[in-house]
Amino acid sequence: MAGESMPQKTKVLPKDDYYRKYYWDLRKDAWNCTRCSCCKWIDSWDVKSARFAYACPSSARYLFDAYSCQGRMDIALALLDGKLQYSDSESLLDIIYKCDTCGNCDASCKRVQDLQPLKVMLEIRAKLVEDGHFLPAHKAVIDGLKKENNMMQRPRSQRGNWTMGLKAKDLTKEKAKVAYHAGCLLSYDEGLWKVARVAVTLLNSVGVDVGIMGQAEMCCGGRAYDMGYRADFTRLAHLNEEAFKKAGVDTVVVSCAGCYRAFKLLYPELGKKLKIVHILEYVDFLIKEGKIELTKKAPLKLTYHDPCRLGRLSRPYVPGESIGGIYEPPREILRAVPGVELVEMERIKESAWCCGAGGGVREAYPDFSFWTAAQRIEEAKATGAEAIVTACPWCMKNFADVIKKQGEKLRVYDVLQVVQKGVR
Amino acid sequence: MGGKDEKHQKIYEGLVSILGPESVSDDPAVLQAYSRDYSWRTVLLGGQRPEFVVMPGSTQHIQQIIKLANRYKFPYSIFGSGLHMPLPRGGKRYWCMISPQRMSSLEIDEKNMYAIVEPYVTYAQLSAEAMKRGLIVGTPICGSQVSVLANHLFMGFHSTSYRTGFATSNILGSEWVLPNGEILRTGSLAIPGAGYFWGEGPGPSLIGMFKALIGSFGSLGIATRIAVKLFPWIGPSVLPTEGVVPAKKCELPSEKFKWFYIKYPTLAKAVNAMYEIGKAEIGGVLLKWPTIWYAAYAAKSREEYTRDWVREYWQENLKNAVEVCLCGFASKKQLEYEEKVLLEIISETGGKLVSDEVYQKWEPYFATNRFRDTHGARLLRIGGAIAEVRILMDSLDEHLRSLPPAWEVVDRHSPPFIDNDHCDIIWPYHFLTGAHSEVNFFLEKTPEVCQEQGKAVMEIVEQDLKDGSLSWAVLGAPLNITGPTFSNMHLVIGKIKKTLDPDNLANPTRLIDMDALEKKETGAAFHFH
Repeated sequence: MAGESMPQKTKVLPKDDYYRKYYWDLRKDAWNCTRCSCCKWIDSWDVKSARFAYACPSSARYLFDAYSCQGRMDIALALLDGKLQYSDSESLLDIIYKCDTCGNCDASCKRVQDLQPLKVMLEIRAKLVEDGHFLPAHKAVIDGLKKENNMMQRPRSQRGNWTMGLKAKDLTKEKAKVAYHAGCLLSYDEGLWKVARVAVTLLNSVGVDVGIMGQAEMCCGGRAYDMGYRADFTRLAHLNEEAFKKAGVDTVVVSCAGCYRAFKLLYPELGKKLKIVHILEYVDFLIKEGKIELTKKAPLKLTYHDPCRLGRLSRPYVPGESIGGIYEPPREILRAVPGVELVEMERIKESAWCCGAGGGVREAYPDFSFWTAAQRIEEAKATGAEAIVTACPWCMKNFADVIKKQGEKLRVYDVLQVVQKGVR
Repeated sequence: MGGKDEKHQKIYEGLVSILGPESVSDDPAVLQAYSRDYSWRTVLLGGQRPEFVVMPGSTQHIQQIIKLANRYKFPYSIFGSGLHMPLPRGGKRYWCMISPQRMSSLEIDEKNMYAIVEPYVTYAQLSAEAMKRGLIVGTPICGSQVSVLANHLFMGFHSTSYRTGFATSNILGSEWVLPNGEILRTGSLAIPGAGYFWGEGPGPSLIGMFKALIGSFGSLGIATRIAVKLFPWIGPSVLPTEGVVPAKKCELPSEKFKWFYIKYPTLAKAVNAMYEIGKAEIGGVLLKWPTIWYAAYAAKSREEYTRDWVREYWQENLKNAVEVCLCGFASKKQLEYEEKVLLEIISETGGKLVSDEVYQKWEPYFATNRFRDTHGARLLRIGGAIAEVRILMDSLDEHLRSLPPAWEVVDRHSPPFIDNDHCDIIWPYHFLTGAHSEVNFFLEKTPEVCQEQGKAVMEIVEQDLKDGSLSWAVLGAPLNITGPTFSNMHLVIGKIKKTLDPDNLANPTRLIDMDALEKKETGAAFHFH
């Protein structure tokens, strides 16, 4: 018998369907975390240096394993099984909320384990809120959201200020096929108005029938969802759907990656079907169609930062399929601008390091938020680029704030600002 | 865990005085993340939180923690990445888990081809830095996200072991904090100013004591830094990936790396071919993998695994296949020469290259794992755990003899064990001076199945002890049981342990059961301590 191959007579597959045809089950996902540590690091093949091998800002900053995805899975499991009570721990809320929900861990885990740890964490946040455990900083933001329909704690009457002098249909009075949804940050942050204004101007210039809600625009609810406030998210989803319907809109164009994810991925979970396009997809299409001509030279050495919610967090999970997202269009657009030299950072696409602004971290833990952005700035500087380009106002804001605070020379652009430089 | 009594408080204050409050925690939520690992043992024993977690930043910190442990008599252990942890066990109180995240320094001596690493440096990090300098470190199957130091000390079977040996033999010097708090430097490191050039001298080698086959799980102190040998790398400085996970490609330049997957009708014929390849001293990678591993790596999802397994794709195409990578270390001519030799061996041994379809399904997406593994964690995915019931280091012939009885044990317990096609990994090291084999399978992580796993392990341990096989059984088996098969090494280790750690504080529930040893309970019933 030595050396012979004895065919195994039995043919035993796992009894539990979960192992044969993955389906979502909160406890099973937490239970099946193998603590392999893949969640802490980017795909090993993509590691180019020891310095930029980390995937998870929370784990890299706070170091205790509890602050890694696998540690949080242990905590989730213990909470679900009653082995850990809210009253047991002073650190529990910190551990759960010192996470950008950037999903780098999630992409790694889906790659090797078919698990959705980010979904576990978001469910646990929702459970915490439901059970009355939340961060005061988040509560203040959510109170503002309930009252003013925005995340900036600002009056709704000021929401349309960014549109001053801009030619676009008012969707509260007129109908248009395309709605441009600016989102909370672009609407209220004066320094970022230019990004929204460029977008509308570009759409107008190529004859798109575009309108805006102006003062009546409302938050997409995505950040509330990430903080665990599901009821507030649902309320806004209903209101937005209704408003778009009433205005006869068939396509919503956004510049904010957070809004993109909310409309594209989270609204369908409530049965809401909106046609969502990120402005980059539109511009990429228009350039390829020859409707936007990039002929002016813009001699810039740039590096592109993939926003989490435009990349790995923007598509529904289908086991075995690529962790999809909008990775190529921004790169193709930038390469199409004459004179632009695009240089890549070490962590890109599904492995991109987060800007630090997501998941309620900027609101509750500004130090951690800025630390995370500063890490990315270091990575960008290591490429020799003179500017970091992105496609999400939250990323822009966080980078700009850190650059200013640290007195860096690096500049920050939205992709459309670079496009604008290339248009005569 | 009991409440925070006076002793707890004293220990906490002592730890804070050494490390500062930000690096010490006794918060239950923080501790929860140190309560379980992937293994079936955790399922059976249940998770147990330590009472403290600390993050030292230096060897001196660890030394002071150990001295404090001796003063207040509390147990401690260290973990690496967290995949397989020396967890608190046996309901012992005041357990302090040492979490090494702050110890992540990495230095490379390019000229002398070695790296000095602290515990929290991963293989991927070291590999990336080494490749930039034309060097490489081996890679373990559990994946390159694990600790270099922990894996080198623990077992260190690497996909390149055929050429690079197993990792424990590549340690050039190490710094240990002994359980009595003294710092021990081994190999050339023991001579002040000599550096990390040789593991076996002129200072103490201690290879058997600290490393042996399975390391010591921190039971004989804590290694705070080691120097590891690096090997020449002829590939690119950055791995060339393409696409997005989970279907990412990474192909090495074909003018330097040539992969062959050679099918044989029987395992014996495959092993015969491996002997011939070893004798010819060709190739950089030589492995005989089991079909469940090929299937688990290749499947982008569990569903795909099941689909391919049921249609027997990998069983049909890679059963008894020998995997070879020829590397043109010296020149293109070397590669051409080795290819000629290999093709002759294939012809003489009755081998057949796999079809292009199979090659294309595997090589572009997975072959590079042999130099830096990124898919290893997929082995844990199918049922939530992998069971290793028999791990053996011996000659290839001995593996051929001892695999079938182990398969019989597995068959007796299937179901509930998941179909494994008689796992038959044979993993040669040092140009076939020996090899490592494993019989393992995937299992559903439920208490019932894990209980069955415990029974199968015990049957195999008994089988090996009866045969006198040089088996080190399973990681959970204390030396009290396996020691007699290893020239009574449990007696030697027991004496060393007693001398250095009279209160049995350094990871007291692993490696050796001192209570049982003192009661002379060698060979007693297997238990999960």
